[in-house]
Amino acid sequence: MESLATIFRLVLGGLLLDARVYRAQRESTVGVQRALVVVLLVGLSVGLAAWIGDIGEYLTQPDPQATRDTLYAGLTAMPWFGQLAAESPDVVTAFEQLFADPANFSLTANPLAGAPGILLTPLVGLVSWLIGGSVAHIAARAFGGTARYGQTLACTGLAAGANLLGLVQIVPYAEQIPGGLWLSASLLGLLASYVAVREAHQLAPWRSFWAVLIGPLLAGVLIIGLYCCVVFVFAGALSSFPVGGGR
Amino acid sequence: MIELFNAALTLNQRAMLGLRDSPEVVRRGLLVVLFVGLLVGAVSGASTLINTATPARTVATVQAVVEQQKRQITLGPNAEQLQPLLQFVNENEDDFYALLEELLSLPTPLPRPVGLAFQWLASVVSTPLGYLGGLLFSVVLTHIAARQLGGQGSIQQMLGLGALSVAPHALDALGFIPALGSMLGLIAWLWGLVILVVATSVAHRLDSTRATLAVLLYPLLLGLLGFLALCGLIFLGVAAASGGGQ
Repeated sequence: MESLATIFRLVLGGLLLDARVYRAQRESTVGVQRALVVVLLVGLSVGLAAWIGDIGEYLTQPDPQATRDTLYAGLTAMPWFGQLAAESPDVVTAFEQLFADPANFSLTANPLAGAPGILLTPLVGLVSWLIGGSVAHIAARAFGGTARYGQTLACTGLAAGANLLGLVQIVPYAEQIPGGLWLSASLLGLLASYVAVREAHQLAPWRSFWAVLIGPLLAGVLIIGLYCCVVFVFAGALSSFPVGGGR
Repeated sequence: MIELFNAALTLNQRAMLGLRDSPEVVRRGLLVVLFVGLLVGAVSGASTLINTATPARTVATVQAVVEQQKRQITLGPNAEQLQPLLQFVNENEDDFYALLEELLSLPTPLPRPVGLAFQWLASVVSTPLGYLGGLLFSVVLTHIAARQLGGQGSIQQMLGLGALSVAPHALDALGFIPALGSMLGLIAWLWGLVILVVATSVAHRLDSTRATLAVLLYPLLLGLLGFLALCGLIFLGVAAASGGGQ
């Protein structure tokens, strides 16, 4: 078993796109085991950090019930509410229903709901690594790559180092710039995967680029295709109803 | 790191060449992003902290923004059409401010200063990520264009050198100064663009014309595509509206 210091160096090398670390990983006889440890440890650390951040947010926010009551009392006391109630009483009923359901006020962080994330984050990371690595391996081999499956997995596992950016979630309210963390981690992850495939398969830059991008592109096309199918079927079902058929 | 920061601001090509040939090009470049992000995050977080230190001060800050918007509407060309909106705001704003203050004064398990400290820390740690996301996006597009134009640099060199374009954004720390803040932001953006062109030229061994083209090619193409898509949407909207009116 590798020491924690070695694993940390690997994660940092993966995060900083260090080609030497990826090359060493390609040649290592324990590359896949190391990559597995990296993926699981990074996922576990990020999941734990996000949970700690959730606890911090929970402890610095008021009780959801008190927030709901204050909001209800304040809004119904405003002049616009009185005018609206006089014009359309149905809106008042809908308003009261909205406030009666606690699920509509789940903006407050809930550490209990976030706890499964500690285990789910490494699991999602593991599945993403296996699927992403396999697709990248097939594509890279099709483009003339030379690495074995284990070597591809060993190198693409290091790309999980990019997810280490998620550690900032240990600070409550850390996602102040919406999408900043997601964009940074996704783009850095793609760049790290590009370096991983290039170093594992000794491919030319453009071939490595397409080998890495083909998986996400296919997934995107598949999702858009499925979405179009659903919309098409739904629209077809709606149009098959005769006009005024409900009467 | 400070030397590299100064070299970026002064477009020092010798320092950029040294960075390009360094095996730690990514780490050194990203340290500049981290430094600028932490600086801007700490200052803007402190500015927000001062404005939201107490519920009354938060309400006063919101009130100042609403008053400014109202003045703009009153002086704007659509003042007459927007009169009902102004009337709605005038009728309800006092109750709204009272509600806001009451919500902000609700008790929390930990004292309010702890929450404020968390929000300041959050500003400090999330600002570098904002810069990093924008940097990665522009670096990836520039690198693809540069390679198509005959560039020879690696993605590591492009990322490390491109990271220097974040250096002028240290000016964003002064963003809290009214009127001057946005002007400084624009200057920082333009200065960063020039650094990115020089960085691309150094990383990919391209002449300045090709480097400029590499930096601008995909943003211009994306902008053009966005504009065409918007025109298409407006055309469809107008067509649908005129079809529905008949």
